[in-house]
Amino acid sequence: MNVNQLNKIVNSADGDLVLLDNINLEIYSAQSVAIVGASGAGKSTLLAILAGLDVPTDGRVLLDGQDLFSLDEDGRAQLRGRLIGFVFQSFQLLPSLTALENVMLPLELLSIADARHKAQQVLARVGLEKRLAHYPRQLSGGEQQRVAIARAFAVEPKILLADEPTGNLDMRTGEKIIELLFSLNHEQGTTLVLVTHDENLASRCDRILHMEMGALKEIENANR
Amino acid sequence: MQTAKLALIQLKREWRAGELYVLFLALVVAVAAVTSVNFFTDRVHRALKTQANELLGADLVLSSDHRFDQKYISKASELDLKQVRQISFPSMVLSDSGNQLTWLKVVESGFPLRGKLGVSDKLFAPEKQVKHIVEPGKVWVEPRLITALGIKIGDYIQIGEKQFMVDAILSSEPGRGGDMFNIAPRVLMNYADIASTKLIQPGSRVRYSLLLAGDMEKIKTYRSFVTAENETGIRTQGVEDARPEIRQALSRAEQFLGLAALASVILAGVAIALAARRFANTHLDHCAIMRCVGATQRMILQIYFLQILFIGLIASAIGVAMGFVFHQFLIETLGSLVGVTLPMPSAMPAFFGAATGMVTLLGFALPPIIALKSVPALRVLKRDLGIVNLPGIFNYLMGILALAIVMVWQSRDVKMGLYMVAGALLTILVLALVALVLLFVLRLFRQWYQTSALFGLRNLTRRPVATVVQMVAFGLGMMALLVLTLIRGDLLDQWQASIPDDAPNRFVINIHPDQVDDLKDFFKRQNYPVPEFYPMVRGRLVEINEQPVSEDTVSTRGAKQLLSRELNLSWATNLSNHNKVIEGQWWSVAPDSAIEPQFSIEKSVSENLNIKLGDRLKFKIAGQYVEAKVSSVREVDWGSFRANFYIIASPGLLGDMPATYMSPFFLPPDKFELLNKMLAEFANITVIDVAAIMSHVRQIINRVTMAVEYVFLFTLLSGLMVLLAGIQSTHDERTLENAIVRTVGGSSRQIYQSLIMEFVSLGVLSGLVAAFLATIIGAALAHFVLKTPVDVSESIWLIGLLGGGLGVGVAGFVGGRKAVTQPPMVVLKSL
Repeated sequence: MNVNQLNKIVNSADGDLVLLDNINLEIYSAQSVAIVGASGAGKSTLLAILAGLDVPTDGRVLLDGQDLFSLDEDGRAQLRGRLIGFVFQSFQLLPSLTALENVMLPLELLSIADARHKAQQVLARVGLEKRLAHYPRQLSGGEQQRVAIARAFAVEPKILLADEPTGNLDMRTGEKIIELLFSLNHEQGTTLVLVTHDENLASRCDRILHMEMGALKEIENANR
Repeated sequence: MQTAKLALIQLKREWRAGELYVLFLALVVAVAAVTSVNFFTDRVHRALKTQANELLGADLVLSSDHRFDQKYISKASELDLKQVRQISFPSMVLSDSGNQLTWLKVVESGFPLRGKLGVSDKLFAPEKQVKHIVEPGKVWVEPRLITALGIKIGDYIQIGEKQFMVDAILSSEPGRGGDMFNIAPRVLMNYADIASTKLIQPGSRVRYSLLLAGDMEKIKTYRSFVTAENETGIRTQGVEDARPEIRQALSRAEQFLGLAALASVILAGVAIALAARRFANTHLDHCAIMRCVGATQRMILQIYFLQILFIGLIASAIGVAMGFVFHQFLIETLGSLVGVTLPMPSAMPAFFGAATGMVTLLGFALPPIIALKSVPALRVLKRDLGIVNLPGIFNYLMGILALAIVMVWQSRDVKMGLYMVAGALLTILVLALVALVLLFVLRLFRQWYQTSALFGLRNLTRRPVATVVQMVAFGLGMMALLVLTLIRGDLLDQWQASIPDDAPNRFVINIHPDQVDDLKDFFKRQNYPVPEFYPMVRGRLVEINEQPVSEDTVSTRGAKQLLSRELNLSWATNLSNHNKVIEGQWWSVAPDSAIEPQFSIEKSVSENLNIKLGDRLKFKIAGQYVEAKVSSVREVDWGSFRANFYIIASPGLLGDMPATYMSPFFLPPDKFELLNKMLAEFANITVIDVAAIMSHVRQIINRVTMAVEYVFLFTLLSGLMVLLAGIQSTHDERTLENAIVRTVGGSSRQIYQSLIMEFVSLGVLSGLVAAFLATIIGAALAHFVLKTPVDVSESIWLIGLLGGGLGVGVAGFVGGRKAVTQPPMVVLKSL
């Protein structure tokens, strides 16, 4: 992933607001990167742009050699489907679908054969083989996040983006989720980019990037 | 294919999750309503038409003054039409006690092809229906002949050169139609006997008729064949040419039922619009997540379009099936009232029902679904950023257009359909405007709403879009129901009332001018109110503005009919109550002074022959000519059963012409002896019984009323669906708010109070606006379409106020209860 001179400026009542200020970043395959910083520093905006969910004011993002913003909205969606997995703070499961069906959704969208079997395998991998037919409201927060992780890894993405994946969970559950994320990251060789307030989580990553007032600075990871 | 599979899989899941019930049910109810109405109206309509045939005795009658060429008979056989020959002509009948001019009707076995023959074995005894015609050697005669000749059943009478036994009294027979005022007592004879009477000689004035019945399409084909032959002197008479009063009743019947069905269609459209909007609303997250995991806009559009298509097809199929079942149930209930065997339904109602469902669904559901493709994937991260502007009322133009097409199609009457569309659009506009004004006023007093009950009012201001949408939906639903209430109650009553119970049921004709005073005296002696007497002169229109006119100089059927026969002319000093001058002026006559000769003509005469005010008309009356200019055009209420005339002359103009008088009067059912006395005293007069015709018309009206009431139930059900969809539309938001209110200490009681306040005020306001609009629409319908006097009752306001407040209030309370009873944590956790 290659980020080049990325800026995001929005118009507000008080004049232009700089959300991202000339971001340059290179992330290699299978690396794990934590983006930390205070609320409103621009972490989530950066993550959204890296995923092609939002567009920058200027600058480039290359994913797997492909310039993300040379594509139209649909092109980005297809690229996302192929390359990127997502884990959100609020899980973002569809309440009308069971755990299994939530995991099957991206597989079906990519027309992957035997989506059901594959989804069952991934759910078993995250320890939810007995919860396949449960709806999100019947699952605990930790279980919901595991379904979300299973959904993200089901399509074997090259890059996994996570937005505060433990933000809504208690510490013990959060730790289990972190374990799961990293073990899947190792198993599948996925590049992991996560936004977090959780120092424990950040310290487990290969690199830590600190975001402040829209600018990004790499800081030393004491654990490495 | 993959997308279709995906759409189906997701649809299955959403169905299981209960997301689609409201949309689906709204559609099922809509299609079921439209289909059952159409199945029912299709069959009743065809049955009523068949009954009109019964009056004619056939589906088509050909008549001529000479024998029919073989080609007419062969063509009918070729088309597999049932055919019966008939000959009719005036003939003297002799008995031991005297003679009488009669109208002899000679029929073949098989007569009548439509309707039934009724006979009785005693004078004025109840009739019984028979399936055969009179045997050779015998005749059936009308009561008047029995009275006139003083004979009884079993006596012999001579017709031509043969003696016939009077076998029964002919009380009713189809095909009596035609010239109502020129019928001598009828005698029904078997076709096998006609030769032996030797009555038909060269030059005899005889009317030959060919009665035909069969498949309507083939009848049409046959009629075109006759038209193409263009043979002089051959006239065709179909169902649509049957008696004007029956025709009017039929077309009103269609209008009432059509109107009721239209209301269901409009309501269904509103319910579907609301449900589809909710469908889109609840799928914003779904779309965002799908976009996030790689779905393209095209794919999203395809998935939802296919889902809607599947929903539409399945719901339509179920709706059509339900419509069929419901209409069977209706026929079970009303079958005995309809009186005749209903024909099997055609496939058209099923097709129309499904098409209505699909068109309405796509019209209203597509705009919000198209909007779904634009849900940004970013919504997964920033929910507030991802709100999509669902289409507003103006983007529903497609739906409105779809509805308009459906309505015009359904009503088979462009005027009626467009009135409904215009009414609905006007209501939407007015309701939206009123809602906006109301919101503005409510907002002004916002700080006053401190008690929990008044929170309800504040809730209305906090959801301005939802409030406007709900008010429009409820208002439209209620307006449709109120218009129907008006029609079902007031207007239908007025229509019924337009045929008063004491409307004339007997017409006395052939009264010699000298007898008028004697007859008046007779009524007085019998202590009976003296009826009005109208002079009648028979004449043929021969010139318009000095240009000769005849059947051959005009092209339209209506014009040909007017010129092919003698018309009944009358004269009068004053305009009758049942006539209205629509052009020109009625003459005013000063006592003892002559006025300029002039004619007043009936509207259809003016239209068919293109006669304008000031045109000069020349009539040939008994070999003499009378000419005068047209000074007024009248509209005549043919359904009134009064004496109505196409042409009325100014007093004096027809004074020298040979006239007879006619008098319509009401004979109570228990006063039949009056007729006997009258006929004994005035042997030459003829009494026509119009009671039979009237009871037939009444029967039709009663049946239609029942049918409209049945359809009304469906409209109510559709209205209920609108209510449900309207309440559903704010359900999620309300649930969340309630959960938060309860979390911060609000009691259920407070929430209920606020809920009730909100819906009751919504209902009352929508109800009042709906009543206002229903009054206008009802008045317009009464005036322009149904042509009954405008008299919209004030109770409509009360119904609007109470019905709206209570209906929406109770439904809102029941529907909104779930939003209160769910534990707050469950609600908050689900977000």
